[in-house]
Amino acid sequence: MKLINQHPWQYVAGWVIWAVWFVIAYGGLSVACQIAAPDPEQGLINWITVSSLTLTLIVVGYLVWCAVKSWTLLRVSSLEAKFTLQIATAVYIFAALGTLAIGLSLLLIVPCI
Amino acid sequence: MNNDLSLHAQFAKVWDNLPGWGQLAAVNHTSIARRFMLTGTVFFTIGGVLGMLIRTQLALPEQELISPDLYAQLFTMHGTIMMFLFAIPILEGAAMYLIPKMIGTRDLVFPRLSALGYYCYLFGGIIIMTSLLLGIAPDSGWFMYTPLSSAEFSSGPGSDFWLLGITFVEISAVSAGVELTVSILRTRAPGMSLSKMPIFCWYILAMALMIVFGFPPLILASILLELERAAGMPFFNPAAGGDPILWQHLFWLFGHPEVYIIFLPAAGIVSTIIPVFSGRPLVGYRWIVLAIITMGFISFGLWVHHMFTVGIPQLAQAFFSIASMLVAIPTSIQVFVWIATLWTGRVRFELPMLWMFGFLFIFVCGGLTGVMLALVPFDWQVHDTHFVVAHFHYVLIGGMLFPLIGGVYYWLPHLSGRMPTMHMGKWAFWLIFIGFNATFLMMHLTGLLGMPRRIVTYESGLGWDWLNMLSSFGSFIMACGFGMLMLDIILHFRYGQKAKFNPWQADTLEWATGTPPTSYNFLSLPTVNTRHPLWEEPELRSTISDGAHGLRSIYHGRRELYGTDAVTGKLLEVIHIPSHSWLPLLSALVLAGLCISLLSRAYEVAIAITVIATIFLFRWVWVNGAHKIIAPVTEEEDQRGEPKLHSRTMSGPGVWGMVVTLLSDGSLYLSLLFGWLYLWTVAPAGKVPDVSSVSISMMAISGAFLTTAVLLYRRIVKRLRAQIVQNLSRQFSLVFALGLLHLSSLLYLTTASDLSFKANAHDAALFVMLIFQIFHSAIATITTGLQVLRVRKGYISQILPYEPAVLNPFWLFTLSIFWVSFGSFLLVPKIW
Repeated sequence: MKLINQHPWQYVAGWVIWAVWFVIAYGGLSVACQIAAPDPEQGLINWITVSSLTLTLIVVGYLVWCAVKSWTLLRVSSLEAKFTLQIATAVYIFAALGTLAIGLSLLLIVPCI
Repeated sequence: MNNDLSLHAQFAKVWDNLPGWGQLAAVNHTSIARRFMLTGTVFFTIGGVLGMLIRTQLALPEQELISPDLYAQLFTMHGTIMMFLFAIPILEGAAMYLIPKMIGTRDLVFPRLSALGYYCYLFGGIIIMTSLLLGIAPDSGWFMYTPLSSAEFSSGPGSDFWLLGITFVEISAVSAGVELTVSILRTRAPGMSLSKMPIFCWYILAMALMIVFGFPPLILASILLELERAAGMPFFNPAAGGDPILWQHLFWLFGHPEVYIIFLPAAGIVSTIIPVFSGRPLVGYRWIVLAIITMGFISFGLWVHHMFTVGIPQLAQAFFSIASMLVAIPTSIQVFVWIATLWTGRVRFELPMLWMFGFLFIFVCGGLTGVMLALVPFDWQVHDTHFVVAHFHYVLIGGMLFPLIGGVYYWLPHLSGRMPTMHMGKWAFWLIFIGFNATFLMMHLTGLLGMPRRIVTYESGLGWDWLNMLSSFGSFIMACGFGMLMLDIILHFRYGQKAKFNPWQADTLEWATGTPPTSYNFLSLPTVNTRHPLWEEPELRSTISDGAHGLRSIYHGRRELYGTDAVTGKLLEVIHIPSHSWLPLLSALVLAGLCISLLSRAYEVAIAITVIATIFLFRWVWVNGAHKIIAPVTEEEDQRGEPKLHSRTMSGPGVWGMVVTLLSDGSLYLSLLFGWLYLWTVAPAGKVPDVSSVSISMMAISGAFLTTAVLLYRRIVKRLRAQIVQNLSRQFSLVFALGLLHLSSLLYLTTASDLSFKANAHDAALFVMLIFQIFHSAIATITTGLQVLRVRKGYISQILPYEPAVLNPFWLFTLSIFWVSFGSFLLVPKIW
């Protein structure tokens, strides 16, 4: 089965990925700060920021890829499937932007303070 | 069936409620929904009176009209009533009334669940209100923060009333969430694909799913706090490894989505009404669907913005601050769609539209102050001040109450068959609109001037005096407006002009039912291939009533609906639903008894009542499927040219109901897992005991029994799907026996373990996990035991394979939580 298809799961898939990323980012940050908080003197270059940012960029990239795939599939689909895929494409784009917007705060604030 | 009766009379005989006291056994969605809305209005009135008392006390500085203790009870109960007993139930009531009619069916898919939900709501509400009458109401604020609500600082029964009463009411909310989700997905008129669904249904689908996922964290939190208060389990006590902040996380995990659970149906009303009075379809249907989905998800990622002042790291605050601002985007999409629809339409200024404009103005103002509050530094400044009170009243009254009243006026002809009066309606609107702004606009200023919320009085000369006086004056104007509104609605039932067919020229199917509607909504069920059936096929009303469409036979005496594909709306089966029943009322009464016995700490009585409740609920399960009261197998059912009855298939609504219920159950379990992980990793004194008190090997053996039982059960379901039914009874008996072995070993290891659940929050969490597992394992095992009997009675067979398909996901869920718990609660701490 193709990862991007006309299944109604596509209505929410983008936001589900965002939600999983959000839980990992926020939960992971809390746990990481308890276990191995970096020295604030290190500034923005520390293991938490770098790993969180990497994860964020991977998720954003994946969501954008899903959006492109969904858009491509849209052009060869039936009327009802078109509706699903149009919503799905927009959801992937919105989720990517949401991930990026929240993730960019990693570039501005030192963690665990 | 009497042949002389007209088809309509025959339908009425099957679908109408019992007369007299028999009305209490009603399960019909129209009756239940009306009761929800009426009860919600009563609670709104009570909550409103409490609000007026608060404003009277605050009108002048240094007043002593109300004692501080009573004042604390008043503001707690005002918030509690408005959020839990008014806003959610009345919107659920509206959804329960409208959804079946809009999607072209005759009832909700689990009518007995609707009735149970109503009675749980009613009895739970009465229990909470009783505390106010007795002067022992909860007084820790509507969000019941620990440690203020814990036994140490709230030793009276007020917090218990809140925790038990609200949990009882939430049974109602979750059951409505399950009911609405499955009804929207599985009982739409043939042909009504998701893209053809009325936009209101999208909103309600999102609301229902948000309830399914959003309410369990609070249910869990309430259970944990009640266990702490009653049994001394220290979940929120830092000295024993607990953490009061855990309550805030669990509460707001529910509490913030709740704001959107309230807003979404109201926005659905707006998206329904504006196109009708603009005389054109909604501009950007897809954009609205996108906004609904986006809002539904983002709203679960904002909860920490209620906790910016508790000492959370800055980066985490930034995450939630940005997420809080992001939610303004889907909200704005909707506002622009409404404006575009008005802009491009030919607007008629009827009474409901006044409320729409009032909504747009107030809600946009409330949204803007919401964005201000999303900014952390600003939030720190105004946290716990009247600014926040003003903000959420703008959002909730503007975002929910104004559309709701607009909706009441819009659908009033549908409910009563009579038109509202423009004259009194306009007066009511302007009094409420002016009174509301006078009341709450001032609170922004008092808040910015530093007036904290929940204070019983204040000194003169702080610059707050005239603002408070004006605010209280405004609240009395608003109260006059609500009085006039209620009078207008009551009078219209007697003096309103008779409504003609589809009086507002609406496009949706509910107006084809007749006004007021019959108990069965539609005599025949049409095929719908458009988003605007009454605009494109105005003759539908008469053809439906003449029986020109599907499922028009009633000689069999069953209440029937069409079951359709969740996405395409393709006709799949005929769903038969139960008729009136006393079981919902009796079950709710017994559950209320359980609630009262727990409140009075009469635990022996509580155990006895639990046994009675279990008997009632299993009786409920028994009267199902092909039971002689419901749908015994007959020859006629295959000869009438309709699809199969759902209990003769393996994909009926029960399977969907089970899966959606398990989503809610899963949310509860994940909340427990989160709570345990939080206590372990974040709580100041949180730690896992060096040696586990629970025998890991015994647990593994118990899990092996469970795994074998589930594998065997799945095999039975697979064989039933392939129509292989040899030794069915024996196979179910084997699963039952394995379930018993699993259950007894689990019970043994729980009782034999040396858990210090009164001294250690970790052990307390582990104990709750074990009880959670035992509860699920017991239900799965007992129900399978009942299935052995049902095979012998002929209710499960080659032609009746439905019920094992319904229970199958439950067994899988039970297995999943077992091994996840085993891994996380027992293995991970050992490895760490």
